Amino acid sequence: MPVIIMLFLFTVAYLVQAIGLPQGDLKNIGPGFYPVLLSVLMLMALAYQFFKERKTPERPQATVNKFHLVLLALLSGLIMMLESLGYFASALVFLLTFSMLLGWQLVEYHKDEAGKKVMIGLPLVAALTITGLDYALFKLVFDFNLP
Amino acid sequence: MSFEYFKIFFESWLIVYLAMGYFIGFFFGAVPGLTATLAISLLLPLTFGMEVLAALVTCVGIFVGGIYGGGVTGILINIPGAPAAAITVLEGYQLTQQGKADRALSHSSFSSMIGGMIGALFTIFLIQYVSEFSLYFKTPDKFSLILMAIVVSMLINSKDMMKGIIATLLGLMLAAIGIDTFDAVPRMSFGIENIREGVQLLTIVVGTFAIAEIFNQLASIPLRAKDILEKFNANQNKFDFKPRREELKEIGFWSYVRSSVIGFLTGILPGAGAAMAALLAYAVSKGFSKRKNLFGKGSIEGIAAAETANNAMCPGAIIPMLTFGIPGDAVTALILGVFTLHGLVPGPMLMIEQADTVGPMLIAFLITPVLIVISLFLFGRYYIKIPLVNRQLLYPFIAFTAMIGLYAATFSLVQLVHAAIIGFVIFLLSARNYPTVPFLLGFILGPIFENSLRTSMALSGGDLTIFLRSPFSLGLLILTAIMIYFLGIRLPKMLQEQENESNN
Amino acid sequence: MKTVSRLFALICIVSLAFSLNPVFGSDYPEKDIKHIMPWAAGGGTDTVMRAFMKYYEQELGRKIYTVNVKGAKSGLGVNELMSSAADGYTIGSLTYDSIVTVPYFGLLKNYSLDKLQFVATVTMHPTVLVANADSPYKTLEDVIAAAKKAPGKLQVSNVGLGGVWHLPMIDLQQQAGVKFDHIAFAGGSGEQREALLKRETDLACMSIGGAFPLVKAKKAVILAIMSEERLAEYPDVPTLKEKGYDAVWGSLRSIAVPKDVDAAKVKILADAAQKTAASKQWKSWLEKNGGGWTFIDGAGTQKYVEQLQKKVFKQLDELVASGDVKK
Repeated sequence: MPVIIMLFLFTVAYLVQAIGLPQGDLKNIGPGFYPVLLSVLMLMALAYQFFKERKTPERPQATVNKFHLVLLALLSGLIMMLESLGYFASALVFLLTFSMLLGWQLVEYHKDEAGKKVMIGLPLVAALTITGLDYALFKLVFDFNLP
Repeated sequence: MSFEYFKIFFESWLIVYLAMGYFIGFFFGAVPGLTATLAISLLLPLTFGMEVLAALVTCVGIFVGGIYGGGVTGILINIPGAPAAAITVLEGYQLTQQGKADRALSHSSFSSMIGGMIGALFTIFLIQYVSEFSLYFKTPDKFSLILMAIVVSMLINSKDMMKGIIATLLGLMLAAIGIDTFDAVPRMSFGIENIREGVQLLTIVVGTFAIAEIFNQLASIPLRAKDILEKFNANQNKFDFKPRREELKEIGFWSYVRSSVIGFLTGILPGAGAAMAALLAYAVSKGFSKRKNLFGKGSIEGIAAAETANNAMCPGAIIPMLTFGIPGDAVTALILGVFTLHGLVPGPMLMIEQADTVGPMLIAFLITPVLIVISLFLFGRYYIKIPLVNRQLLYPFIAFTAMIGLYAATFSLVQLVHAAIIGFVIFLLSARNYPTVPFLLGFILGPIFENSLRTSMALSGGDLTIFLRSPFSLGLLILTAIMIYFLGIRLPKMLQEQENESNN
Repeated sequence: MKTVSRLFALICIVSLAFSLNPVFGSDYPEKDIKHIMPWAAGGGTDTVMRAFMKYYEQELGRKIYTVNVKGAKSGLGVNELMSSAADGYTIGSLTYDSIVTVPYFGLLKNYSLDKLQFVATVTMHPTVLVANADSPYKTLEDVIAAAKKAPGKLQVSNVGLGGVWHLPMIDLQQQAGVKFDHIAFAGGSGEQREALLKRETDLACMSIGGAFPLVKAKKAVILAIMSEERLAEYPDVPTLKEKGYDAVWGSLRSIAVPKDVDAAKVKILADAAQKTAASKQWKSWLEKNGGGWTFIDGAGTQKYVEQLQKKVFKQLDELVASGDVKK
């Protein structure tokens, strides 16, 4: 249901913009025609799905949990750090924290796995090797300009 | 097709690129949740610096390796690495439980090789003719073909039709964002300067296959190595990968040919994909088989049919991309990207102007299947190690390499933001059974779909019947209607009835 | 292997750069130069300009790396160039659309060519009118006669209305008093060539570079060329001008830097560009890839751009007024 509402809002905003564009005629179809067509079809499909799900509610296979929020924060962190801190600093921080996050998730479900290995050892290995590996791949072999 | 192209292959290191591509594709295909599409998109920025043939051959290796790899983990631990492998898993895991994993692996590889080679031969033989024919295939015909591809992909890849439609429309809508190509008008930018340029394919692929998968990994209970090994039959200590004579006889020569033809034809049909090839060949083989009772209980015939077909599909799928410029799935779309990146334009002139590039690429399709069997004999007994790769190392690698690769390709942080948002949204959608394949195909085909519509209408002076007057276009529209009837109406009903029967 | 040779080349370049650094008297350039390419990788402009940069960097003694920033009809890339640091380490390519289409249609806010100074123009491809080799149209007169007989029926392809290949045909039809049916193929010159081959359109209006593959394969003939004078490569093809139509059209590729780069640096860049343009290797590369050699210095380019804008903006105004082009 939240997904349908999200898509619905997106489509309405899309349709409003599309209507504002020149529509043209059949010989010279304008830039607005095709987006209007798509969004009208989308609204119809969403309406059908909306009423269907109101009658028989569906349960999603997966829901947003705390790990997802941390991952979103990590991704935004990576994007913000990349150009200001440069390749190495942002790579190390992102890889280390993300690997720790996976370790945390593992321990959450399998208590017996807890320990230094999943929380410190593996994240360190991940951070160091992947930073080096990608640097070698992008910079040394293919000569890209990394930040 | 001249033998020159073979020579090029072995003289110029191409074989190394091919093998590298194959193993990368195989690995990504075999790890559940990762796909060959993702492998290609991770490598795409790197292909900027490669020579065009090296890049193309690498992609071919990934494509074939990915399709085959999907079956391997499925056979061993009952988790298909890729959707194309669903049938192989159905039969293969039964054999694994009987302690015969080596038989399943043997036949999945051997049939993959046969299918791949027959498909490649068909392609090499036919490409010239299709390419010449494409001169008669005009803009309205293209429109109808794209429409069919979109509809077929939607029908095949969605369990819930309405969700498939919504996913497809979302892909089409995202593709329409940007500066209009006909009238130089910016559209659908929501007032945000950053998306005036539109959303890029690489960004969508990274979002859909890398970022969304990482969110997905965090949503479920993580599998540990011992959980995975539990699914595998630990009594398996015999690894004899040679196909036996009586097994080959049981499958039969014509079964291989039949499945290859089915796979190849499914490949030519844009939008249908490997899963459909395998399913069709499996169903047909079952119909012809003398041992129907074995199907679903570990039938080698079933594995052979499915794997022959989905590998014969790969070279077939390249045909509409090369001749009409219409990619049928994400992998061929990315290969098309490599083409245009190096200034090669698909179409009727391609085989005349660029035979030196296309020729060796088709030879690559002929050689890769041999690698499948070679790698089985060399490394087959270690295949079980692949799904055991540590996720705390693997997923950071995937996430970071995807993001840094996207940055290297675009030099734009904005693309990274887009990829993250798209990844999260796609995760939300697929958690609710909205299929991602039609979404992606809608995004890929969206621009050429709209362009061919608008150009057709301009050519006909606004006459909609132009789509009915061309025999090719009319034929394709009728075919689309038939597909809708069988795949969209008949098939769900049949499945429903079957379910009701088994419930009673 | 490619990667090994690449590494080797890198080492060579680096060591060369260290040993021969003060080549130009001044220290500039002291580091690698970024080149913003406003069109997609693999397109016509990208291919040509990357080739130019390959020879250009030899003259400059520093590596030039190309970054594709595509979108908004080249506007996004040029916009990025406009807001880049004026230290001389960012250069950019501009094409016809960057000069006409983007400012005229206001595709981007804050986009103004005043924020740039031109270094040089390195190619100029005249626009040509092409027909399928088997079509009944063998000369320009055939075309005009057919268009007079059936106004608005003769179909001519371009890659976007109001764009670089549409306007010349509007120009021609106004001067000749005829009307064509303009068909846009948004996929670029590749689609135009295909449509001409399949005879979906009667004619195509495109760059001589775009028409080159078909003409070379003898699948198409050039009916008229829109340059001032006949080209040495095609001595038999008449110009529109000599046929009595004052229509000179073409697409240029220029190099520019942000406005505030100091004159000494611009001079180094310009001198190197001139040397590169005059080099044998660049000329022979161009010849093999459709021709179009030209060299106009920065001041000349500035003048040319102003004239071009004045001329085309006026025509566009008329087209918008008549409804042929949407703004």
